[in-house]
Amino acid sequence: MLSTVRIACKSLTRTPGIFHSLSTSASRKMEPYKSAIHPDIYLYPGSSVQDQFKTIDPSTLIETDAQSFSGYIPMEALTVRYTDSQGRITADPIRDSRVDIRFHLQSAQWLSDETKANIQAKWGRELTKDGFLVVKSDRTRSAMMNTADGLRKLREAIWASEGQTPPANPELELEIQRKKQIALARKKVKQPKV
Amino acid sequence: MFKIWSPLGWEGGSSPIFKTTPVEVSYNYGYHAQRQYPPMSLKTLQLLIDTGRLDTHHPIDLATLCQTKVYRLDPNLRQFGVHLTAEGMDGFKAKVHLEVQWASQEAIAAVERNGGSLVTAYFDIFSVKALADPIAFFKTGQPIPRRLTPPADAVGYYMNPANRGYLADPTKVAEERVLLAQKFGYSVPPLDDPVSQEAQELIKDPRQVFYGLQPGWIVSLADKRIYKPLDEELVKHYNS
Repeated sequence: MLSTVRIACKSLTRTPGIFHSLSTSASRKMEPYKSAIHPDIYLYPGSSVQDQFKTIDPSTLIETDAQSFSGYIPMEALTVRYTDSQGRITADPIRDSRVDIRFHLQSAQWLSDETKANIQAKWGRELTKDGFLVVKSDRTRSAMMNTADGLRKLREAIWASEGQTPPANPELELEIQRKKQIALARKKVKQPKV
Repeated sequence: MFKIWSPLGWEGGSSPIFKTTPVEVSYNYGYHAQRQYPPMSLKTLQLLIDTGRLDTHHPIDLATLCQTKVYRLDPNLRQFGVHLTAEGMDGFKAKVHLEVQWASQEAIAAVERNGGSLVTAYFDIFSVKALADPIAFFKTGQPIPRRLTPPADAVGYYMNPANRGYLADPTKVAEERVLLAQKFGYSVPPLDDPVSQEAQELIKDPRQVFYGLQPGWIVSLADKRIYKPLDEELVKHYNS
């Protein structure tokens, strides 16, 4: 016995008109296929694959110690400006790679009073006349990477004001060591750098 | 067309030094089992969308990318899928729901900050052959293969929530989305529009190759019908 079903190949988008029209019939909505090794059944029973797209409240990820800085920064609280390396806003995302991140320290709701006092004590001299803490980065040619670099600098500055050293990066340290060894070996052999 | 990596020590045809000297025995051990993932940049992806070769109203998988004929894959050269690279991440504006085989962290961030989503999934070589040219595959009359689980050296990658692996814990993936947004400085956009809802409902099962189609089905383009297996053993096999 043969079964007749409409083709529902959403992958075949070369001629979207033909296949799309066949697949959007609401009356013949197919049940999703779940094999024996579907993550909901086999790996993580009790959760759904769709849970990965749910919006999580970031405060649930923060530890309840309210006094020290957790590392979480709400991006709405920061003013982020993208300019080219000369400071001009060209509105071209590829050219505007320099990042300027600033916020008014004393009116920041996302920092506890103790953290604000620490930052004021350590970085008070670095603040602008109006009391803004400014972090800039133009380290790479990508605005996205520079934003990450700027936020890293900001987090490390806040943790430094609380007396914490930045976390060790063993991969980076190994890479630096490796390059030093190569440079030393090159000197010994007196080969020109290629 | 993306070429294949030559074996290490290849000297253009003459006997390589590791073959003529008796010391190096397993120099290219496992060469024929190595998987390759030809890269595609976000720049190319944006271009394909801007020129109308890709429709962002539906989720995009390997089959869709190969059908554009801009990105080409040769499964005979042990090419197992697409590696999404971050080149062009700053100019990437599209909202896409992607299924790729490998993705760099920056590429994931660029996709997610525009309100899209990304899943990395493993397809074995027979599934890749089907996806690389679905129409040619359907014309062979073979049943859709039952996708295999990743090999031992790839399981760790696809179970890692940071890579958005299809076998990762979904709650941890949701957390990783927040962490990545914190790293690259954007707020996680909610995925509650109809296109995103459709993409979420269509997430493939680990045994599934095509959207909307199950393993074991035979798609006949000439008859415009799908033939499903009815034998108990076959049904049990394709649902296992």
